[in-house]
Amino acid sequence: MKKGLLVLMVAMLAVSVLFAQGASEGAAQPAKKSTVRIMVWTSSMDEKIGPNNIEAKFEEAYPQYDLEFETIEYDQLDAQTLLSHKTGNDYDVIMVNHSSLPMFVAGDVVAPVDDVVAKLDMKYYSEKAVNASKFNGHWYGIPFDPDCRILAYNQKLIKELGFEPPKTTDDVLKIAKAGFEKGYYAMAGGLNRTTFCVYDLGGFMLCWGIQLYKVDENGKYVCQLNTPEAVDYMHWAQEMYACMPHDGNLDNSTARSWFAQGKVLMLWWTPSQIKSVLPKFANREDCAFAEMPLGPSGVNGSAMGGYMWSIGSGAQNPEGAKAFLTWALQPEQQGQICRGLPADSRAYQYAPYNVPEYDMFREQIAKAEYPVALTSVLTKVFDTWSRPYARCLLGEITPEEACEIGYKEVQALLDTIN
Amino acid sequence: MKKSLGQSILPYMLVAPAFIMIGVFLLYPMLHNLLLSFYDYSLASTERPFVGFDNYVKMLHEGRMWRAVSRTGVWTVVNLFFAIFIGVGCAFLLFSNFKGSNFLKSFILIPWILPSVITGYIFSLMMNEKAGVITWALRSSHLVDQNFSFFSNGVLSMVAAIMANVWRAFPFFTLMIYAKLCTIPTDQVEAAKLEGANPLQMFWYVYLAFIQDVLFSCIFLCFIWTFNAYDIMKVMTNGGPAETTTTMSILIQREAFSYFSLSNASTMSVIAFAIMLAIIIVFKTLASVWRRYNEK
Repeated sequence: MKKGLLVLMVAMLAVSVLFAQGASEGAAQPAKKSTVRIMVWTSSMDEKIGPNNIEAKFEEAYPQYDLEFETIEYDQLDAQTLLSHKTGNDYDVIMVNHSSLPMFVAGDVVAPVDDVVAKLDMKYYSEKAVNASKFNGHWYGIPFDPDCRILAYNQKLIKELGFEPPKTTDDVLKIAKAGFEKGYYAMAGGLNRTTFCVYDLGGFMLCWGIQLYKVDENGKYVCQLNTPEAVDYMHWAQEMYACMPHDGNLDNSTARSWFAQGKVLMLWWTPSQIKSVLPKFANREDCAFAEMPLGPSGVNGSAMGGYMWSIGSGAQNPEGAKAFLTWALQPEQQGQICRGLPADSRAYQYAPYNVPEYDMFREQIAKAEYPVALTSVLTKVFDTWSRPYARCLLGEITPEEACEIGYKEVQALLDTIN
Repeated sequence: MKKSLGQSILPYMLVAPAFIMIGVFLLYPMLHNLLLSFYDYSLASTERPFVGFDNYVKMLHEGRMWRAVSRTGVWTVVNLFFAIFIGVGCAFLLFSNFKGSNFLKSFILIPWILPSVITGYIFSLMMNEKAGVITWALRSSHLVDQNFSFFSNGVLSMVAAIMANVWRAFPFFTLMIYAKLCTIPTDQVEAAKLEGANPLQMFWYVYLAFIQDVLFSCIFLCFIWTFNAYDIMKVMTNGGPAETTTTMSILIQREAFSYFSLSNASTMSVIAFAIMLAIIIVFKTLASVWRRYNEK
């Protein structure tokens, strides 16, 4: 019995070796591909990169590379980038939130991408977006998925209130007050969100021709909250917030649903809402778009946000990374990859951006800018400003006091990097 | 009888895995955290200079931190007060064996079993300005005006979070105290009744004296959990509006994972630990003084 089992085992071993030998001798060996590791936001993968077969298309054009996407949740993008760098496991290509780029540059997490930029026709890109990613004479990020805000409004309700579509910030405030008296909210958003004071209602500050801080002629960061325009803006914002829901916890999905249901008259509108919010309107014709309103100084500022491509400073395959970026930034590819808007204006000729819903965005993004200069203390600045901003909107302090407190605290923070 | 070597080291071998786990997952992170507080370290920086006690000096002058400490104090004390009050009350209610109490006993643990994140989300929805059932009930009964919102200011936001946390925490007190009450010697109760004790005297001298050990242990545990609570506040208010509900745990998380300043976060967590330890020592001392006073 034991001898029989032994014979059987040896026979099985011999057969396995025979088959393995045959497999290695017969087929031609495929060329070895080098891996390009790319870190992207889960939503970008789910909505665009995956469904549009970006991986297969790139590998067909560049058969020597094998793309490996790693999807990360939005609130973990920065942490994942930093931790992978600290552990020597840098990604080759990183999807970087524009506000995080300065922090990564300061921490030597990303490498210069000058040679990729040299291959692109930058005249089709937003000059402000491109220059914002330049530090110490080198580019560290290339915008590929920017976004900006436009004004969406319920034209049916505004007409019923007896108003024309809003063109200026004064018009917006008049409509807000009249609508609130009739039981409508002017706009809707969560005050507890840090981005509320800079991108949401805070984004309208750009219409006053000012930013939270800017770079002066000496290259120093200077807070602009001590200007009359800032105080004037805060008065406007305080009066607007009085006509908005006071639930500081209000999430974006609920606010946008209320807009679609006709409970909210106007809303700052981003590109991603075209797919998510427009279908919720009972009558699509009720929703109209306009560029951001003109402020007292005649400026229609729009807060720009979005993402950039960067290359990890410890990338294992920088050549593969550059090849991917050069390919992905072509206008016909950008529309297939970006979730917000394409950075190259030629991409609007291709699907899905060659539809009327994006016309307003195309015009607006040319005038859009980041609400503040990109610095390594950006997140702290937002949190610092959001405190007096929220207190003012809640009526606890006056706009003058909010600007005074905000100026002192924000400038103190900026002085740590000046 | 002289023990063999195997018998003498056997107990240590049996507890060794637990000690190794504690060492790896508890002691090492705590010590590393303490060490980080003496450096100027950020995930987004290239250097990690040793700064000694500079971080502690900086934090002691940091207004934001002390405001968070005071908010944590308010959050903890108010939570404890209501959790004890409602928990002990429910325990005595169940102990009275009213009709249906057996049925209720099965459901009393549900708030405790639910993950705190889920509790936070549920209460957020119930307190929603437009569609929340609690908000609607308050407006319909004209207890608040039609524009009322739980999250419109810091005080109300804190109240909302406390309501959610108390709902979640009181069953722990109820269960522990009810279990202790079930073991109370009936002769003590009967003797007190024969002596003519009124309900208040019965509660103070008989029942409370009997459950005090369990009560102190529950307060002690609940204090630690509430002081360190993060999820409910994060989900319901995110520390806002204007940081008016930012407790120590939220501030530390923000410092570590939004600003990536690990040294600041480590320093704050060491200070929070020291404060909590001091309070626990004071509490334990007071509890033992109380026990000795009662025994006399």
